[in-house]
Amino acid sequence: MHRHVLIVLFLSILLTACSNNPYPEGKKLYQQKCQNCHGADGNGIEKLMPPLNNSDWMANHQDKLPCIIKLGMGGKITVNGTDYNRQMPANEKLTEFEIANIINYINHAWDNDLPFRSPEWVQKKLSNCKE
Amino acid sequence: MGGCSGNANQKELPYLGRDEVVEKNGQKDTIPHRIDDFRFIDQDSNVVTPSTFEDKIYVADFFFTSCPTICPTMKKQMKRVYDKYKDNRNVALLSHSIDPAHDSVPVLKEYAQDMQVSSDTWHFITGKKDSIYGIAESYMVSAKEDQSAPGGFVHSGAFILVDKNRHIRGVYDGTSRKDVNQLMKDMEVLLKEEKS
Repeated sequence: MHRHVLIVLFLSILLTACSNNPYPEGKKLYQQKCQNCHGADGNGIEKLMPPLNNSDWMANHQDKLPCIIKLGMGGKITVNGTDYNRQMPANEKLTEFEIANIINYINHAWDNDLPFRSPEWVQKKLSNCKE
Repeated sequence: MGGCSGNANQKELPYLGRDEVVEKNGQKDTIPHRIDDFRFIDQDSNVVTPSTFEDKIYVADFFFTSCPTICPTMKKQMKRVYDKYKDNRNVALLSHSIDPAHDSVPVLKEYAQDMQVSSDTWHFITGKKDSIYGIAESYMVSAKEDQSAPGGFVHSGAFILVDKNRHIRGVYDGTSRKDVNQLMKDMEVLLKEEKS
């Protein structure tokens, strides 16, 4: 019995390791909620929509991501030397699990190699959002 | 949707829309559907009318700058068309805002600047709401206000290819890279036709 569990565990680790897409739930949510603007390649659109791929801003503002995803954001930001100033819509129905899935997807998609974030971490950040 | 507009091997593009039957000297004549007259203002405050597109083929679409759904994808695809044809005097692009209350000339100007495109080729227009929604019907696409929709409007994601005689020659899904590839192939066919 134990051996079976171990084999299944081993296989699932192997599958995860072989896949380019270790966060399928996050990817699905990203495609539904984020991709229109930020792009399937994470590179944004011209000076309209900022990139998430190789974004210095995203790497430096990890703590803000949960509130931004849930409540949207406005005002000027500078990403990799380019100014962006458009309104990002809110997604208030997303749960902390879904937000963690999205962050883990974008943190590891494309060329990104940013930290893993747990739903608990997201929940903690969400409790400090400035409306 | 690419199927509506033929394939790469097709030599001639179809005429789309409802034919008009006119009687001249007792003879009945059939004219393919034409885009109605219009008069709008673009991001550089230029007046845009059908004569702006004299001797040009053009691609039209409907969007609004604060659109959170399909518009950014459409604009990304339209930018591909722009990049290919920006130096071709026989091609123009026409994006109609369906939210003229918000999308004033300066708002459209900023949007075009952020897209890094010039009004010589790509016109972002605003005007009277009724006129814009009316012309959408002439392009055979839907555009209307709907409070329950994200951003407050629903509209088609179609790109409409129009020849220099104001006839619709192709309709494409502006959110699909594949369909936009087909559009650019069909533009080549149309440009050759217009030359001959």
